[in-house]
Amino acid sequence: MKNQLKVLRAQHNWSQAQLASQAGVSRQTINAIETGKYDPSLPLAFKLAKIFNSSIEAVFEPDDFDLD
Amino acid sequence: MKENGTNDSGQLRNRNIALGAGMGLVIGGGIDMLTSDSGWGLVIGILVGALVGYFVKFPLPVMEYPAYIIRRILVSVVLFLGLLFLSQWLLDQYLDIPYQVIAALLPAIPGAYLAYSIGSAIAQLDELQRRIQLEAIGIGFGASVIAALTYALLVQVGIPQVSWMFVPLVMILLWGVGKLWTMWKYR
Repeated sequence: MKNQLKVLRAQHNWSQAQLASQAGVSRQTINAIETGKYDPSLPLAFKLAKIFNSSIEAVFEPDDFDLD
Repeated sequence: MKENGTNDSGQLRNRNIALGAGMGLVIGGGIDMLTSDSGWGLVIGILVGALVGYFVKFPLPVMEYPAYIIRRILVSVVLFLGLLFLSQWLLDQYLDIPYQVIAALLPAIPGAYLAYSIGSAIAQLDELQRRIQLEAIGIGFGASVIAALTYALLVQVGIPQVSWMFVPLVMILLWGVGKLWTMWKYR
C-alpha cells in the first residue's frame, strides 16, 4: 500500500517521533509505514488520516490489483 | 551535519553493543549456571553479544513498557530463579517422593506468573512491535523444535547428552535471533 505520510508530515514540519507520539505508536512504526515495509491496521490508518485532517483515501492508496 | 551523523552512528553502535552484550550476559550466565563453569560462559556470551551488536548497523528499537509491567516481570523472574534454586536444593535433600514432587513443582507458580507478565507486556506494545514479537517468537519456537529434534537424533549417534535445562536457553537465543531478523525486516 502506498501512502502520503512522509509528504504530509513534511508539510506539517513534524518529526517521525512527533507524529508517533500523536498517533500513540512508536517512531519505528511510523518509519516502517512511511517506507512501505508495514501496512497499518484500519484503526491506525483512520487515526493517522484524522491527525492530518484528511480522508483515509487521501493518505493511503492501495497498490494496483485485479478483483478477478 | 557530518559531525552529527558521526555522533549518531557512534551512539547507535554503542547502544547496539550494550544491547548485544546484555543478551550475551543472559545466555552466557545461563550456560555458566548449568555447567557450573568458572565464568567463561558469561565472558564469552558478553563478548559475542557485543560483537554481534557492533556489526548490526540499524537501530535496535528498545520496546518501552509501563513501569508496573517491568516491576511485575522483575518480581516474577526473581521469584522464579529463587524458587528454582530452592527447588534444586530441596531435591538434593533426598526427601520422600511426594515432597520431591512438590519441590519440583514450586518454580512453576512464579513461572506461570512470569508467562502472564510477558503476555501483558506484549499486549502493551503497538501493532508493529507486537508483530515483530509474534514473528520472533514463531521463529524461536520453530527453530527450537527443529534444534531439539536434530539433537535427539544426534544423541542416538552418540554425542554427549546435556541437561534439558538448556532448552529454555536455546529458545531465548533463537528468539533473539528471530527478533534481530524481524527488526531488520521492518527497520
